[in-house]
Amino acid sequence: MWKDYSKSYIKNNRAASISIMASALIATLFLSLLCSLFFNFGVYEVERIKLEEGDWQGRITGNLNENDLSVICQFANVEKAVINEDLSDEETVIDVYFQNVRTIYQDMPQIITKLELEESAAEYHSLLLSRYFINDPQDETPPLLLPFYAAVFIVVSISLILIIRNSFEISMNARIHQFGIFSSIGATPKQICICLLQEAAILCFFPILFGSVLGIGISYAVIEAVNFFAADVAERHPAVFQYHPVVFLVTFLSASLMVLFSAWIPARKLSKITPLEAIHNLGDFQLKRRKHSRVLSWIFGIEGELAGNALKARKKQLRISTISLLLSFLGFTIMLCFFTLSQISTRYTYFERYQNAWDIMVTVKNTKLTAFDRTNEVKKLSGVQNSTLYQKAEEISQMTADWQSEELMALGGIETIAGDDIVKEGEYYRINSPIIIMDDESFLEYCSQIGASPSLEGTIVLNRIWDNLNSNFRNKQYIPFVKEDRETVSLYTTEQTLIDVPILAYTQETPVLREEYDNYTLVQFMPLSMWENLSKQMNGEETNMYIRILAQDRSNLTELSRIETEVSQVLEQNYNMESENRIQEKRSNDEMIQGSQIILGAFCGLLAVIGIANVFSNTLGFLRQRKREFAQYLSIGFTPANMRKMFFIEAFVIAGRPILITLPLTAAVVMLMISASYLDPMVFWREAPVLPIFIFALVIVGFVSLAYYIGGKQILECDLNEVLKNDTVI
Amino acid sequence: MEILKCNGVQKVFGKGESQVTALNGIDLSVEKGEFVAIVGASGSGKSTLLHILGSVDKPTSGSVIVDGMDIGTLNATDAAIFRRRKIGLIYQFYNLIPTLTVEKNIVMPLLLDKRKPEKKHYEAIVRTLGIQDKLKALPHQLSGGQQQRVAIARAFIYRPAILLADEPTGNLDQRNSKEIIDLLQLFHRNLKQTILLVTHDEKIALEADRIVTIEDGKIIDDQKRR
Amino acid sequence: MTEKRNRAWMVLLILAVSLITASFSAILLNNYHLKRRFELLGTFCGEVIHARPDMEQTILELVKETDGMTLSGRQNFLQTFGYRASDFGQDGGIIFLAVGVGLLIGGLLFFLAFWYWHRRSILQIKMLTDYLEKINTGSQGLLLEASEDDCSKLQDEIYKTVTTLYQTRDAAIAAKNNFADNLANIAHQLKTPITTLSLSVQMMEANPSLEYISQMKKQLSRLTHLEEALLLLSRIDAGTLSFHRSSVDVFTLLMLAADNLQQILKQSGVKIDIPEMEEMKVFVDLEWTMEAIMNLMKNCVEHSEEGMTVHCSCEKNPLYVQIKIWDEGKGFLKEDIPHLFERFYRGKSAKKDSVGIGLSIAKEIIEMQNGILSANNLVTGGACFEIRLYSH
Repeated sequence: MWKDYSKSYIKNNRAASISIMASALIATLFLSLLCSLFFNFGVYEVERIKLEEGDWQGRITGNLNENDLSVICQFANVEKAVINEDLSDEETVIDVYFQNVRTIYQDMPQIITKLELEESAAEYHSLLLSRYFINDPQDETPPLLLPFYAAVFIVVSISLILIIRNSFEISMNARIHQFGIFSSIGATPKQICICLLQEAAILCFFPILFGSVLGIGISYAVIEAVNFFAADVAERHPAVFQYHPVVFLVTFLSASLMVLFSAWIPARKLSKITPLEAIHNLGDFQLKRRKHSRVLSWIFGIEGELAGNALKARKKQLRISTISLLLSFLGFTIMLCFFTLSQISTRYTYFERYQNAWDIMVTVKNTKLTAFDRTNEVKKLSGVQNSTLYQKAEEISQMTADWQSEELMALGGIETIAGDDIVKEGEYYRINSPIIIMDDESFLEYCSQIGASPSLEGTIVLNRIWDNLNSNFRNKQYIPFVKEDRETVSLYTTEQTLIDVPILAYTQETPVLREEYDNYTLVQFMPLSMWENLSKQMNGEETNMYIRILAQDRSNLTELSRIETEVSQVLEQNYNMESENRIQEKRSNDEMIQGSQIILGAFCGLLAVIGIANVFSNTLGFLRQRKREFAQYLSIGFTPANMRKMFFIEAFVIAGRPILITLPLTAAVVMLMISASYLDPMVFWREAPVLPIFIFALVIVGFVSLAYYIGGKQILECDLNEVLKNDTVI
Repeated sequence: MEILKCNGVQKVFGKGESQVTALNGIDLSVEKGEFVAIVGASGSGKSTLLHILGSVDKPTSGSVIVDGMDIGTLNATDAAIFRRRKIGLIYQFYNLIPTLTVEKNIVMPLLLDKRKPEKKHYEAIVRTLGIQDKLKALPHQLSGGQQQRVAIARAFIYRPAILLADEPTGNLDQRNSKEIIDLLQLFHRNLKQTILLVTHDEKIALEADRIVTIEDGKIIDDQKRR
Repeated sequence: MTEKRNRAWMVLLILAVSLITASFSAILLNNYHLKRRFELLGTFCGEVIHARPDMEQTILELVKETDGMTLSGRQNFLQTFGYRASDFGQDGGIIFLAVGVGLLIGGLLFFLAFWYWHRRSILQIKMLTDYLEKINTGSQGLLLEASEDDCSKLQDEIYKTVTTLYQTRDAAIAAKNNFADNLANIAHQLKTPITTLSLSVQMMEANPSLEYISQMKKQLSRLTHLEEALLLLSRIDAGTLSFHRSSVDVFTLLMLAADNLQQILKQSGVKIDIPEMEEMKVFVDLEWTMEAIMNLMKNCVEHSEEGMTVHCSCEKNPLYVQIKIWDEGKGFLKEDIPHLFERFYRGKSAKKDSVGIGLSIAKEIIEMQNGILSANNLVTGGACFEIRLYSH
């Protein structure tokens, strides 16, 4: 029989029911959309990773034979094990697939133990596994991506709950009086609470269902749109819309919980109200203390004062709407600023720095420069302005304390600057020394570039160290590392004995290579012929070697592509190689940024829409609750024009406050981010997303005004004297 | 037979300096079938007394026994059930539920107890109050006097031990006021209903069998007229 | 109806709980069974491999292929050697223990719940019984429990019935007390005329004179009048007074009553003023209502001095028709007002020969026709009777 009441309430009070249903629909829609998008994003990531890096889950490397393979296969959880022919050379590499991949971190060690291999023989496809939410239990710093998503999800859910809660609260506040009556004729608190929850369930069931389905539909459309916009991005594997009943179940259940929870809060509050309070409460709010809003009354006169007082008296109610406004605006602005910043940052650190150092980079895999026999062919390619073949070797040199340059000593010595990166051994320092081994021809060119006498009998020392006390990493300032008075530099051999290498020159200038040298290292450049002598005693060489090519016509993509093809033709038969092309790279990078911007922009947009929906529903509800108050104003002789002015002031305050709060906050956060990334604030300012933020602020103001317009119109059209006289007017 | 007994009922609002004593030691006994008017100026504590009798409010000290139940000790749920079965409340502002039809409004106390109205009793009440043709209407479609009649019907439907009326005519014109008081009298006479009527209007109080005058939270006069 | 539905819900609930519990136990049992089977298979394989190391590969393959669990279509190998399932049942103890404990606890809980439920209803019935017993033996009982179950509704109704019975009993006692008073009053009323009569008879015997006859006639007419009134009262009390109610116009009613009082009016020189009024119908018995109104008018006339007027008025609202009759005399004494309509009550200003019965008859006639009669003093000083005849 509680249905009697709720049914007739719903029937006789369509507006309130519709607002609840609409908010439930919208909230569910967003929730469903988010769930579906996240799900698809996850699935897409897995697909992408499988495509790009293979779908293996675990890998075992070692001296293994067919017998071991069958042993692996006999493990209960192993679905199949395949020898990876591509990677196997002396040691066999076996890709292992599991039936239940969740226990991989328990199963793999068991397999390794059974095969009597070292622990390092096992390799995990941690990227793929992390997408299944499987993390190495021993890993103390699991990827933070998942918690980030979870946090976003929770924040969005809370904001959605706010939307629904708000609409319920409005509908229930309007009925405090009614439930007071119920209580006075003998309804128990439990009956009232159950009735309200029932009502919520009945009202929201179909909106939730419909919202879920609609959300799925929209997410399908979004994915299709992303596919459409990102169709040009090279090597992008198109996303296929997918859905799983579990996602629907999760959406539906969490939406239902959301609704019940948001109905339960006000319902509980309401059921506890004594009939006396409720009957006396006709929706009037009194200011507890006399407070004057001086600013408003000074600017706008009596209407301003009234508006200010009304807003103050309802501080508590307004808090939610303020918070939701603030959250959405803050979230939107900070997100936008963050993306702008990170965009600038990537550009600075990567593309602008190496823009001119290369046109085509070739990586020749598993090859030593000493063993490379196509140097001449590469050098002779047509259309090439200049090419360098080089390889890197990680070696260690010895430095005595008194070799440090005076500038370095003045700053407090190497230990002040590099700290733990330097190992001290008695009175010597062990300093990491990357050695760049260049082909002889290029080396000689380099010699002449820095003005040293051309010779192949020695090494050139890049005599600089980053003065990290007086500059940041983005604008590094260098000082000399060592005194330029020594003839030789001592390197440690494989047996830890020292070998002296003659120094040809000290320089501050690097050759034109796409290389970034580690901080606090003593970088040396060495000709290949010199290295050939040393290499017997040294083993720090990396496995890959590189070819850097500068073309004559550097801005022509077709030309670069032609050279790239030619290099491949020269090398491909004998060597395993990969090549990159600067312009191509730049282009696809731009496309990637664009694509990610579309997705992130859509996300920002989603946040914005949720925020606006929240604001709109809040403001509209806020107005509806105050019919009586407005009726009183009208009854003491306010004209509709006065009322309009008051509405205007209130809207101004409601929308203006969060914006005013957000701007300095955003500014502070952005300043923090800028200083953390050592960017020039002016650079950021030039690209600051002022326009979108401004537009968003305008939209917020617009929607608050719209809510006030609609609400105000309803109120002015309503027969206010009736409202004042008794409370049976709906 | 005694149906209501107040023993030293006290009600204090607020704390410390701002303490206000609304009721100060009220002793009152009402027999079944009496029609008692409680009069007093506004602020004399008469409405507070009525709210305490209706278990809508609780006394600070003292006991109130209505129909064999000490209502000062009831918790929220029991108090609600008590109100439902033993008390009929009529207010100045009718307090009908605006979204329910008149019919539903009237039988609500019974519905809350998952009961259906006894047909004869229900029809008799509705006919006496002259609202039989308004049963399907919503409260706001009725005049003030008619709404108050619906409220009276709602108060009587569960045959309460006591009917408490708080300024039932405060919002009505003279003609409607008279009608409402006449109706209360009729119920009092026909159903031997015990009625407690709070009013500040001496003329209305004169319709009652017994007039209790309250001033500053104390009973200063108690006279039987009939 | 609700009772039945409640029971259905209860059954459903119990069924649901039982099913869920059963499913959980099945899951637990299955887990246990799996673990057990796993252990057995593991031990068995270990033993076999220990005995025949070269079998390892084959056994592992078999385990993996069949998952160690699936049945093959072939006949149970062990069966061919005459083993039976029960030969391997040494480890069932824990299950039986669990089953036993579960049954015990379940039974206990069931018993407790049943006992509690039973005790509760017994307590409720006991409380009601005690209450009724107290009422029967004459003391006041208190009921303190209020809840929403059916028993408390019964309790509420019993309480209300008892209260009504109490009220009826009080009324009956009052009536009985009245009866004795009435008899005394009647005797008293009979005494005066009978004394006068016997005195007159004695006087006549001594001194026959016509003067006495007229006196005796007067007393006899008074007796007749008394007898009529008493008869009427007895008929009212016995409920044998039959009303033939029909639609009557108030103006007619008042005019008829005034006409019947012509003689008294002439004697006392008092006028009755009945204003012109629109047609107002009441649904009453013409004869008896006229009688009642006559009594009221008579009372007014009796309290008026010569040259005064008795006024009438009438108004109608949806609820009732109200007739007012008032005089210009001194009005009622304040202390008389609560007792005016009591039988044989004679106020201080009553005339010597008034019986104190007319007003009570009038009141009873009005009340029997769904009306009320009340009396009060006007602000201007006259006495006023108010008749309200409710339309339903």
